[in-house]
Amino acid sequence: MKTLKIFLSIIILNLNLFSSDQIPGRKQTKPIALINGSIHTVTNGTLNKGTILFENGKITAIGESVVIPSNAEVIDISGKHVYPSLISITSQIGLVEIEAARPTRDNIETGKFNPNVRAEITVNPDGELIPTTRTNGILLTHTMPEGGIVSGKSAVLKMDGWTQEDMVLDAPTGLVVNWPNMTPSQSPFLRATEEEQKKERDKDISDLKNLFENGKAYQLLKKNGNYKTDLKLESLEPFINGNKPLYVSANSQLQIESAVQFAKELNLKIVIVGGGEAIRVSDLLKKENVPVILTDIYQLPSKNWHDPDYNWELPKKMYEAGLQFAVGMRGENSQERNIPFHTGFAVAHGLPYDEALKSITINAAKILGIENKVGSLEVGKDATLFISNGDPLEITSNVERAFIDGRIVDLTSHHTELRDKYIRKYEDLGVLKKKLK
Amino acid sequence: MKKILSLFIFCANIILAQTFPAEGIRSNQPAQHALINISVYVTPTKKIDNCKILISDGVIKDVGENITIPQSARIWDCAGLTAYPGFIDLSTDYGQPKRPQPTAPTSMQQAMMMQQTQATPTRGSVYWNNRVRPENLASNNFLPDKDAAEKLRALGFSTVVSAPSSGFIRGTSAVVNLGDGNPHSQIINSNLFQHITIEREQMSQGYPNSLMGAISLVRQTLLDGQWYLKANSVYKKNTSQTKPEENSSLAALEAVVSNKQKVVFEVNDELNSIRAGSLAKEFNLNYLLRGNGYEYRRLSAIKGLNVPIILPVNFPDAPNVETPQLALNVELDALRHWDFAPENPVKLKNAGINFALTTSQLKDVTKFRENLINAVNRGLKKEDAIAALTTIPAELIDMENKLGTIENGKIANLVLTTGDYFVEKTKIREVWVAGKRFEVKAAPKVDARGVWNVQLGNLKDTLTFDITGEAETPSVSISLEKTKIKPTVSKMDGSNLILSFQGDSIKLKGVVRLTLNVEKNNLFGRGELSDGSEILTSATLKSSFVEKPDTTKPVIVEKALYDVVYPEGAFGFAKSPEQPKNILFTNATIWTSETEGILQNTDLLIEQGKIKEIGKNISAPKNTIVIDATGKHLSPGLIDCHSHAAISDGVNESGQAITSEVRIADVVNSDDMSVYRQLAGGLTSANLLHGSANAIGGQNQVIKLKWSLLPEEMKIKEAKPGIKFALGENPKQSNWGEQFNTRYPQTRMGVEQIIRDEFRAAQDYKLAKSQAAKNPNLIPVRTDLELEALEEILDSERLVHAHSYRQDEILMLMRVSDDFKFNIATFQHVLEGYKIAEEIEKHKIGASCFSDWWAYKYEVVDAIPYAGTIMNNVGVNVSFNSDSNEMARRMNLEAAKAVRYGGMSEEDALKLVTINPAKQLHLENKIGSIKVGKDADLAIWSASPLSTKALCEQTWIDGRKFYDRKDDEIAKLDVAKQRTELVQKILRTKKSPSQPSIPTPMPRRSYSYDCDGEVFTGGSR
Repeated sequence: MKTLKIFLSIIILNLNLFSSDQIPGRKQTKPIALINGSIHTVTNGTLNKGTILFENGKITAIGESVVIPSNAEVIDISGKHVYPSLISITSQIGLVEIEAARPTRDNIETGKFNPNVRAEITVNPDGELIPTTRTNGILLTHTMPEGGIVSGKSAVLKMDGWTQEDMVLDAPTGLVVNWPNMTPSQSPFLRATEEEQKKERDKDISDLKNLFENGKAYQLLKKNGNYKTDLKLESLEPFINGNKPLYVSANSQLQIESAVQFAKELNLKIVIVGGGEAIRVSDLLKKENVPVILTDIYQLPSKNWHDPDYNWELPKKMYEAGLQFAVGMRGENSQERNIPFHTGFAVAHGLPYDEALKSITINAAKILGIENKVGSLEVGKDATLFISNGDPLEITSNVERAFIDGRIVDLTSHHTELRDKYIRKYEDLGVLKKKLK
Repeated sequence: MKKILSLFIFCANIILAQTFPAEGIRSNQPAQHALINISVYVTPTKKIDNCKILISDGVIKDVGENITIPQSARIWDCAGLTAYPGFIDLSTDYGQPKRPQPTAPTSMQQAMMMQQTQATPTRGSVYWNNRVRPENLASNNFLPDKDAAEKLRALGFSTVVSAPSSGFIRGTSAVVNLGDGNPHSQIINSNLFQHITIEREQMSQGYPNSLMGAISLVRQTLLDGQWYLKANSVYKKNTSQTKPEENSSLAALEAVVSNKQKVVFEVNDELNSIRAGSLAKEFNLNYLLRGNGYEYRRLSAIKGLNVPIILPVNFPDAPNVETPQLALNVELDALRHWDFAPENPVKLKNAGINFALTTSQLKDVTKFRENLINAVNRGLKKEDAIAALTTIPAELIDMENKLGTIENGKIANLVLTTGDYFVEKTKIREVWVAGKRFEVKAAPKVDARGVWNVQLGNLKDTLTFDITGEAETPSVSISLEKTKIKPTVSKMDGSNLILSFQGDSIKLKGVVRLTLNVEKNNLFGRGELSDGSEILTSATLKSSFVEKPDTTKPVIVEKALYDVVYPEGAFGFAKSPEQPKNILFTNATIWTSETEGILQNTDLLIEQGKIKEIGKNISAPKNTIVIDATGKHLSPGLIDCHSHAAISDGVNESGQAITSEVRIADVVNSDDMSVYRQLAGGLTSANLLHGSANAIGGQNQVIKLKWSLLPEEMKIKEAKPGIKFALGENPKQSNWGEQFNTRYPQTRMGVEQIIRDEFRAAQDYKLAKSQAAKNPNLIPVRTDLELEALEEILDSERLVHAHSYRQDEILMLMRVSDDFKFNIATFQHVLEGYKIAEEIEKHKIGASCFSDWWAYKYEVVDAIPYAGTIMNNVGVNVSFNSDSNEMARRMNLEAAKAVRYGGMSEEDALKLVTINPAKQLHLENKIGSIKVGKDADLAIWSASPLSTKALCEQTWIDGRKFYDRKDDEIAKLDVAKQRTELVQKILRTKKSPSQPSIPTPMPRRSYSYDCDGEVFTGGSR
C-alpha cells in the first residue's frame, strides 16, 4: 500500500511539476516577411541582406527583392540570421522525460523484436524538454525507440503542437534496429562464455532474417486475402518494400559490414547509426550507398590508443571519404540542445563549416527522407526556421525567434520561467548587482 | 668415532623433538646419504664438479670433492646430475585453507547490495572488520598439500613461505618445507611476516569497497595497534579506570607497530607498490613488497623505496591479435607489457633492486620455469636468478644459516637436475627436502635406443629396428632391405617395448604385435602374427644410440622493441617536459582573468615556471625561448573544480554512510588517459573529489595535470585539504534501486541528522583528546581518522565541498555550518542554488555548478542553465565544473554557455573556469589568472577560447609544456606504428597461447569499466 502511495505520488508530482506551460503557436493566418536579414538557405548559399516570405506555413519567396503582400507582417531583422530548423536526428525527446524516474521512461518495450511499436504514440506535447530544446533552433527531432534488436518505428516530430498528432511531420520514418555485438564483450555480470555470446549473436541475426522473410511471406498471403493479422509482420511493410529505411545501430567495422550485407541480401534500405568505425569501411558504404549518422563525436574515445581528437575528427574524415552523413547524439536527451555546438567543434577539427551546418539540416533531412519539406530554406518547403543573432554553431549566440509551419514558436520554457521568477526575488531583495541579458 | 657419536645424539634429538605417539611399527629408515659424482652449485656462483654431498638426519654434513663418506651412508650415484640448493618461494598460500569465494553477483544491483553488506565477526574479541585478521597464524591453519607440494617441487622448490590469503591485514606466515608427514615436521619457522594488502577483491563486500577505503582501513588499524599498545601500558600503571577493550587482533599487531616484525605488502601494480611504500613509511614499518611484474614502469620510484621485492614472473599471454578487428580492442599498453614483461627482472637487477623470485601471481604455477628461462634469455644472469631463488630469499627470512646454499650445517634441501636449470630440455630429476628424497621425474630405467638386428621366430628374414628419440618415448623404424615402415604402435610400458605394425610390405602378412623386454644389448620377447601364431623374438644390438648434436636453431631472442615511456602506453613521454629558464610569448591576445581583462597584442614572459612580466614589447633575456603567438589567444590554464579523473580503483567508498577517513590523496592515478585528454583541452588543474554516495564522503586532492610525472608530483602541495559532503538523492540512495532502503539516511531529514551527529561526535572527540593529553595516567583517546577529518573542518583546516541539488538542502547545510561554526568552501553542482543565491552570497560560499545539465533525475527538474549567471549577478563566486572525464576536455566551451544563458560578459565567462574555481580552492594566489608571480599555467588557443572553432594548441604547467598539438600529431602516428610492429612481433614470435578475444584489462588502466564507478555505487553528479 505504501509503495502504491509513493508510486501515485510520483505520478501526481510529475503531472503537476513536469509539464510545460508554453502555448502552441497559432496557425499562420497572414504572410510573414523577414526582411534585411542574412538568409542562410543551406542549399543555395547565403543572401547577406535578403527577404524570406512565408504564407500558410510554406516558404513562398526568398530573395533580395521580394514582393511583399500588403497584408504581410513585416519583421525587420537587420543584422540577424535566418536558418532552417536544425534537426536532432537520433532523438529521445518525447520518449523519456527524466532518465532516473521510471514512470517517465517510454523508450524501451520489453522483448527483442518490437517492429510494431511507434514512437509518436507516447509523446507528451507538454513535456518540458520540448521548449528547452527548440530554443536552440532544434525545431525537428527524429525520435527513435530503443532496446532489443528491433526497437520499433521512429517518427519525425515538430517541436510544437497541442497533441502528438499535431507534432508528427513524418511517421513511420524508419525501423530502429540494434545490430548484435559481433565480438564478445566483457561485463562482470555477463555469465555467457565467448562461444555462448557468439551463438546468441548468430541466433539474433538469423531471427532478424526470419522476421523479414516472414514479413515477405505475410505480404504475399495478404495479397491472396488468406491471412490472419499479425501486428509485427504487418508493420514491416514499408521496410520490406524498401520505401523506408532501417536505422541500424552499428559501431564496429564487423557490425557495419554484417548489417550492410544483411540489408543487401534482403533488399532493404539502411542507415547506419553510431558509425564509430564507419570510416574503416568507407568503400563498402559508398558502394552500397549507405548513409551514416554519427552519434558519438562528443564522447570519449573508446580506446586509450585513440588520440584525444579521435571522435571529434570523425565528421571530417567522413566528409573527406565522400560519405553521406549526419551528426546526432545519443545519451541524455536533455543534452540534445547542444548538438549544434558539437557540430561546431567538429569544424574546429577540420570539417568545412558548410558541411557542418548541412550535417544537422539538409543532409539529415535527406537521410530521413523529408528533404522535400524541411532541411533548407527553399520555396515550397515548410516555414520551419529560426532567427539567430549569430552563428548557431557558436555557443555564444542566441536564437531570437522561431517558426514551425509559419506558426510563431514560444521561446520561453521552464528554464526562462524559473529564471524570471528568481530574478524577481532578487530584484525585490535588492541584491541583484547586474541585470541578466 | 666421535663423529658417529654426535650423529647418534642428533638422531635421538629428532625423536625426542616429536610429540606424536608411534603408530604401529616405528620406522627408522637410514638417514645418512651420500650423493656422489654430482656437480654442485654450492652457492649461486660457485660450482664444484665431481662432488660429493653427505647428508645426515636431514642436514648437510659435508660437501666437497674429497670428503670422507662413512660406510654406513647409503650411496647415490648421481652421475650426470647437477645439484642446486633447494629453491625458496616467499609468497605462496601453500597448505592454507582455500579462501572462501563469495558468490559472484549476476547484476549490478546485486553487486551494489553486496558492497553495502558488511559481514561482521560474531565471536571472539577480534577486529570489527572481518577482513582485518592480523591474529591469523598461518601455522595454525597449515596442512601439507600433497598435490601442491609435488607441483612446486617439480619446479625445484623445497621451501616456501605459506601465508594466509584473504583479507586486507591477513595474518602471519610460516616457513615450511615441501616434504610430507604432519604439519609439525614441515614448519621450520612460524609467525614470520605480517601480510597486508591494499588490493580489494574483485567483487568486494561491505567496507571497504574501494582502494582508498582499503588504504584507510589499513592505516586506521595500524593506528589502533599503536593505541592498543599504549592504552594497555597506561592502564597497567593505573587500573582505576575503565579497561581498554580486549582486542586479540590489535594485540597481534604489537610486533608490527613496534617494528619487531616485518610486513609483506602484496600489491598488484607499480602504483600500488609506491602507495604501499608511503604507507609503510608513514608507520616506519620494516617491510617487503610482493611485487607484480609492472615494476619496470616506474623503476626509479620503486628503487627509491629501497625495499626488497618478492617478484613474480607472471608474464602475460600474447594479446589476441588473430584478426585486425580483434587487434583493435587491444590497448597499446597491453601490447607493450607483453613485450616488456620478461625484461622486468633484469631491469630490476640492473637498477640495483634486491629481489627474490616467486611463483605467486601465475595463473598456472607450472609456467614458472618457462617464464624464468624467458627472463634469462632476455638478459637476467643465471647466477642472479639462482640467487633470487636461494640465498636472497634465505636472507630475507633471516634463515641464511639454514637455507639457500649447499653447505655444512644447512637443511638438506637440494634440487637435482640433468643439467643447466635454465635450458629448456633439462629435466628436474629429484628434490631433497630435509634429507628426504622426492622423485620428480625418474631417469628412464631402460633404454631401447640403438640399431637392432631382430630375429622373428624362425622366419628367415632379419629385420632392422632403428630406435631413436627419447628413452621414455622412443621412435621406432622397422626395415627389411630397402623397405622401411613405421609401426602403428610403439611405446614403452615399464621395461617393455610394445610394437604393432602392418607387416605386408616386409613380407609378413597382416598386423604383427610384439612385446619386447629391454635389457642392455638385448631385446627379447614374444609376439603374435596375423594368423595367431606366437613367435619368439630376439634382437642383438648392432650399434648403440648416439645422441645427435642439437641442430635445432637457437631461439632468437628479441629484446623489447621500445623504451619505457611515462606513463606506460599510448601518448606517454620518454621523459618529463623540461622547464626552460625563460619563455616569451609574443603578440598574443591575453585573457588575464584579472581586472586587466583581455589584453590585445601583448607579450608574456615566464621565468622558472612563474609569470614574470606582462606587457608590450618585452625584451627577452638571453637564451629565452620565444614563441610567436600572433593571432593566438592565451588564457590561464583551465581549472576543473569537480573531477573524478586520475583516481585509481573506486571514486566512492560506499561501504559506510560516513567515510571522512578515506583520502583521494592515497589513490591519485598518474596514468589515467583522461589526464592527457584533458590537457589537450587546456585544463591544467583539477579538484579530485570523492563521489557522492555518502553524506560525508572522502577527502579531496587538488592536482596539476602533469602527465608523465608520479602521483605525488602531481599534487598541489599548497592546496588546502578538503572533503566531500553530499546531500539529496545520492546519499539517501534514491536511484540505487528499490531494495536499497535500510542504510541510514533514506531521507533529506536523515541526511541533516547524520551530519549533525557527526559534528557533535567530533566536538566530543576533540574535548576528550585535550583532556587525555593533559593527564598521562589516562588512557589516550584512540585516533579516529573519521573524526579527525571532522575536527579539521571545525578548526577551519579543511574545506567542505558539498554536493547539493535542492534549495532546501542547500539552506539546511548552511544552517548546520552556522550552528557548528564551520565554513563551506563550495556547494558543488548546486543546481537550485539560484533559488537561494542571497544566502550563499551572505555565507561567502562558492558555487561550483554544471553549465546546463538537467532532467536526468528528479532533483534536477528545476535546474536551469541561467543558474550560473544569476548567482554570479547576485555576487556569488561561481565556477563551472565537469564531473565528467569527457566534459573536462572542453571547459572553455562550458564557460561559453554563461554568455548564451544570461548574457555574462566573455571576460567573466572565462573566469568561471579559471580564477573563480581557483578562489574556491583557496589557490587564487597561485593559479587561475595571468598575473605576475603566479604559476605559468597557460593554454594557447587558435581563436577565442569561447568559440567552438577554437582548438587548444599548447598547454603549459609551471612553465613546462605538457601538451602540444603538433607533438600529438607525431605521437598519433607513432602509436599506430608501434601497434603494427608489436602485433607483427606477436604473430612472429608467439609461443604462449593467446588471451581470449575478450581482452583482459590492464590493472586499473581501463576507464571503460570500473565496477566501482559512478553509477555503480551511488553516483557522483
